Amino acid sequence: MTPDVPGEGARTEAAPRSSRRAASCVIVAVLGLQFVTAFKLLCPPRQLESLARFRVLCSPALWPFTDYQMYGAAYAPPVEVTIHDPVGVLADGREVALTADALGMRSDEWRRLFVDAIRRWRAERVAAGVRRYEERSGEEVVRLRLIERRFELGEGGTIEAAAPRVEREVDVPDAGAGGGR
Amino acid sequence: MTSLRARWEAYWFRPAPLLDLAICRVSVSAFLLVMTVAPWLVLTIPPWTRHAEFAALPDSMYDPILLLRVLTAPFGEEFRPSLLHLRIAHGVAIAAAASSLVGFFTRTSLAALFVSFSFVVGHSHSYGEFHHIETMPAILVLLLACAPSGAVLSLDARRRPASGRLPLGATDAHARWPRLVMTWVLAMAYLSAALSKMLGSGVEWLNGTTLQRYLMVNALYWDRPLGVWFAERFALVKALGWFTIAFEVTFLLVLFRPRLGPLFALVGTAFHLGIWFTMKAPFFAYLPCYAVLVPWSRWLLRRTA
Repeated sequence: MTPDVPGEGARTEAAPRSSRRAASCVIVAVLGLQFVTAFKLLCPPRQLESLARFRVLCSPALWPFTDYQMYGAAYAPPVEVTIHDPVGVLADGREVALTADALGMRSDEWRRLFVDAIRRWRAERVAAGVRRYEERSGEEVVRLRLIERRFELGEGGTIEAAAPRVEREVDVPDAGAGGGR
Repeated sequence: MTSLRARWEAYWFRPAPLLDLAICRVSVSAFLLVMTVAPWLVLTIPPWTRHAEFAALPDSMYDPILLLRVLTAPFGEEFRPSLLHLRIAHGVAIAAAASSLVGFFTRTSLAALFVSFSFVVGHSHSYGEFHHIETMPAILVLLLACAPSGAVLSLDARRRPASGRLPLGATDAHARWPRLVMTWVLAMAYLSAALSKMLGSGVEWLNGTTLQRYLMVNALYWDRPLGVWFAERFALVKALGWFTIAFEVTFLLVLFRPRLGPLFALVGTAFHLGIWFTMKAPFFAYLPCYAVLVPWSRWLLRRTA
């Protein structure tokens, strides 16, 4: 932001007043919009019921000008985190971990499309996930088990809060199965 | 009144190096070119790869943001972009980012980039979900389109007759304000982030457990071993919580002490890369905007002088 440039010091012609006026309008508009949205002047919190009528422009209404309310909630200790590990039972009784890697999926896709599908029982998605594993490993999965593990976060780091428990245990659905078990 | 105007003019329109502005243009255009051509490199759930998904959603879910309403107003109030419109806008954004990068019809290209980029991203934010990722480059592109950002370091500059070409060290009254406005925008964004934490949760946000939870939940969801490693070290996480608030609150110092710009650019880069490696939150789009904090011409021209 410093104008002192060493070396060549050529200057373009002085900016005419009209162009400075136009630029001033842009400056005021951009800063005004950013100020109004960043500090939520037109989007007071829902809890303040008396200000409800001023709640007229909440993000992203004025995008690209928005507030930056991210990761704002606080959590008091102890905080509990729950993990779900799907396990496949093979025809010979062996157990295999149906991880994202084992299914060849990205971690977020695996949680959304496979783990959540087991929890909410979306049979078609579950069957598709198992089929992916079988195609990659050459092993047939006959039964599914979803293990729930709960951890507590605190000053001592991560501590297992409870013994793992089986949240769901089901036979592998047919490929054409519908949802709703 | 005159003195107020003089101070306004001195603050925003003091001649500044055109090279600094041109480097900001190169930085943000290059980033947006990558974002539009290979979005999965810089985003986790890019709208640029989900045109079909959005277009297939029912009309009842479509609630366009104001900018999209303005852009589509000529087509009538009921207009909703189709898959073809989104693909065309995406293609225009790629072409406009490339031509802004090389400085070919620079200001027109930047304006086209702003419109097409806003069209696609704004459309993806018109179904009740939105992310903060693309806001900063969009605002910077808008500002650069209103300023002589192609006066040097561009094909436009090369196309001029030799007698009319500006040297790299040339200054202009419109070279300072876009970078200054962007710095204000960044400062307000970070202050907004800090205030939302402090006003919403108070000092409890700094208890260590809060950040520990965010880290662990995101690290597990996105498979980030580094995030799990951090989440298990309470004292370190607590310090990171304080660092986060300190960074977000003190960012506005660069407005009063521009010499701190490169330092904040460096710390901010580390901050956002850290968030990426631990939580996979892709705030890379802020990094090209840090170009406004760096006195490029002072560094580069001194070296070549």
